[in-house]
Amino acid sequence: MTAPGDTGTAPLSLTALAPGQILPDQHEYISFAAICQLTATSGDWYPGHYDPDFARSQGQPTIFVSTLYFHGLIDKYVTDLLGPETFVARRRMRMHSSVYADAQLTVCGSVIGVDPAAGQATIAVELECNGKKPVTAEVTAELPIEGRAGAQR
Amino acid sequence: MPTPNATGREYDLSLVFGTVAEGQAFVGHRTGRRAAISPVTERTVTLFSALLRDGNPLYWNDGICPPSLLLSFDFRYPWHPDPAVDLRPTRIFREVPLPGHYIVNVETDSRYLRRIRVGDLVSSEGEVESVSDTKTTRLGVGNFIHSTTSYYDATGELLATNTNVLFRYDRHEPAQAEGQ
Repeated sequence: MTAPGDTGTAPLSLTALAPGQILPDQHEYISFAAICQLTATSGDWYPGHYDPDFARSQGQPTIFVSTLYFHGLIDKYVTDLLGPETFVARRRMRMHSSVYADAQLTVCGSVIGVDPAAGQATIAVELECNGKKPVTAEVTAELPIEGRAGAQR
Repeated sequence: MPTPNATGREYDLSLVFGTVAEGQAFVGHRTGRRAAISPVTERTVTLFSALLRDGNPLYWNDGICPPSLLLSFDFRYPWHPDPAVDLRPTRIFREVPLPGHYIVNVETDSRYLRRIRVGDLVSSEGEVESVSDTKTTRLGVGNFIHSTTSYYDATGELLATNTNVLFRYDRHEPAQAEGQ
């Protein structure tokens, strides 16, 4: 399990990124209680996020995590790797299937492209769970460049 | 209005029911701009970060809100002492009249123009872009709703946009629209 904010390595700079580069994995666990806590914190009270009976009535085996959790996990992966000052300018995400309580997740990534002039990198992020990829995403990240305000927005 | 469910309980999903034709006629509808009930709070930012085990110091020390909390600004309180406060959900997909009793999110595309900060009072305004014909998926039979929501700060500056695709469905056979 990843310690808070600690990837074990220094943030990667733009010059250290190249298209096709495979980025380190992160491993996460989401408990039943954490899904309910996220529901309460975010205010997303859709009952499929806290009531297993409701989730089963809609064809799911138990409660499932919310969109906000996936967004948070993807952004955390990117900012842990590229540094906390990294500005997430765009995140495109597709949910192919749900992720349920008590899931072990692996967050994987690779570099799609780097634009040093714009101070941007585009990162592909995938979530793996039980041999499947329930979520895929593409993040456009702005990294701090000395003399530029972009990532400071 | 509470919706009866196969569990035997009632849930306030705030969904509007209607036919697919009514849903497709809803394309182009806008919510109007609605403000969040309260500004972004430090407690929400740090608790959300704690649940994600995200130690980003911007969130813990500098009053910066994780961009991933953007969609939470649409959610409302269940009650408020001021009857003038609008408690209707601002998620526009809930207002599309359709037969389905369940929702599951499929795609998001979020663009951010600046960081959101503790103290920002975020307003949002949604628009329905399209409603698909009836489709069958692993979960059931229903319709994909494509909507776009724009988020603003208290001065009216555009903070971010989110384009969303959501599947509204019933299991197996399509349910009759309520009242029909």
